[in-house]
Amino acid sequence: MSWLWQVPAVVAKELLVEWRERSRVSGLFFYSFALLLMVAFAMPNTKMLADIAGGALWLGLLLASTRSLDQSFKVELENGALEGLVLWPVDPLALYYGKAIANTLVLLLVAAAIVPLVIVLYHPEIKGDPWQLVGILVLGSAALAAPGTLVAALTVQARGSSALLPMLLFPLVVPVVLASARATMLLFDGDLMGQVDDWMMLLLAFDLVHWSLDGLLFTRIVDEG
Amino acid sequence: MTPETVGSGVIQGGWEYIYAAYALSWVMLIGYTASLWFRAPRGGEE
Amino acid sequence: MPPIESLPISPGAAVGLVALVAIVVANQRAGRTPWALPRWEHAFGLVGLCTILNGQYMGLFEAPRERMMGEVARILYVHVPSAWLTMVVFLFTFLFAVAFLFTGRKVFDQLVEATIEVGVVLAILLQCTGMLFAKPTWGMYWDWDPRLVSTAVMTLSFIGVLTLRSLVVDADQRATWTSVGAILASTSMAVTYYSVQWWRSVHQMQSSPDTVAKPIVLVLRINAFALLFLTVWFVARRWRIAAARAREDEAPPLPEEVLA
Repeated sequence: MSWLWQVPAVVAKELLVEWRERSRVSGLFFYSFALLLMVAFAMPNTKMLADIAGGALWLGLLLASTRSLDQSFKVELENGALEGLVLWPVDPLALYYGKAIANTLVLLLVAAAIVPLVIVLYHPEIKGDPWQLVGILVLGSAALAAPGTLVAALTVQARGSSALLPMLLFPLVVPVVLASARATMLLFDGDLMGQVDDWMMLLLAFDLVHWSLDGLLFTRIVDEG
Repeated sequence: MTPETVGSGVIQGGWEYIYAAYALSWVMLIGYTASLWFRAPRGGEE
Repeated sequence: MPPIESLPISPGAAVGLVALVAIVVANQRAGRTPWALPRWEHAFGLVGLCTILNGQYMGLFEAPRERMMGEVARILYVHVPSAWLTMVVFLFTFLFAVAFLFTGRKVFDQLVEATIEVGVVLAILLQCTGMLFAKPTWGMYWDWDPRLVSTAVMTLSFIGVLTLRSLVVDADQRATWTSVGAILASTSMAVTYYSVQWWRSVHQMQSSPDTVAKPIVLVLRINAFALLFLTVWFVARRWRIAAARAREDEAPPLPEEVLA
């Protein structure tokens, strides 16, 4: 289990890259912001906005995640650093978990920025427990990032990868979008039947499956790459 | 469809859907067979 | 239409006899053993063709009208076997993908490619016949029922894997990428299956044979076995194509003068 000690180093390295390319993270934020505006314009009336606030939030996060994940391995590929990383005594598992954790953190950062925007623009009444929203955001971001990191590694070397990534990722994360959006909307609406917990359990189950399986699959990709 | 037949609870007719489903299955099976035929390796294999 | 027993010869038997005569005659002319087939899988194809002709004849004209669904239930003789076979084929995709990742043998990669493509064809047939069944029974072609949604999701993810496969240039990478993608897509297959238990829905639960009338079960079984035989034939044929392409991709043998 010595690779566990390498995970923090990979996370730190990923976050450093993100910090050096701050414009990319702020680009993600403005992308989601523009998307929230567009969704509002596409609705028949503004009274509906409060009902769809949770859905719009997760749509924004999903699309932001595809953009950030697409970049996740490009940096290394462009600078020929992936070979360098593999040649270094870094375990592929540490590489995967480091990248997945970093991607989760970036998504949480974007979420932290657009949740206030959703509340201001879509004015949902928040009847539920706000702390539960934090739980949904953490579980949901992790559930987007785990398969997303693997799919990004799969598609980065294919031709036309930016189109391929959503094609492979969206079908995989349907349960995530469904569960997170339902849970968030129920939370805004007042969770009378206690269903939020069920949706969060689904997210947790998805997280457990993908955080364990995808790391193993990633090692196979790196061996071949 | 008249109200009485609806009341009996049994779905009436619908043959156009049945024929469409069976025709579709043949179109797909024959179509895929054709695509396999056109892509089949020629020579050197047998 | 008369029941199949009272026909002078069943449609499948007629086609089968004609095909057998044609095979024997062609082999006689070429001086081969009369029963020889160029490939073993063609036996499956032929049996499947004859069986599906009989099965569909029985499904269309002979099976009794279903008690609640009336005539429309005849669509199920196409729909349900395609659902079973889609599941079976994608299960094999998963097994072959795992086998490839563990052994690295090229044959498993070719079988993954073959089963994904056949599975996608069956899944499209499954969903189209499902829509044609849904319109007269539920009143709409599509419903946001979990099983419908997850079947569509599963189909999309396997189409995504095929697209990925077509876009990766390096053969070794392509094989690993495909297997990893197939295993990921198979997780959506598990969701498909268990979604029935997870969510309540209008789609009926899987019926076991004892909740369905006897003649209906018989016709359903005949159609299922017919499609099974055809599927084996499809997968085998598709595998031949994949294997031939893999041989083409391999480097040509060194010329004699270099070896000497």
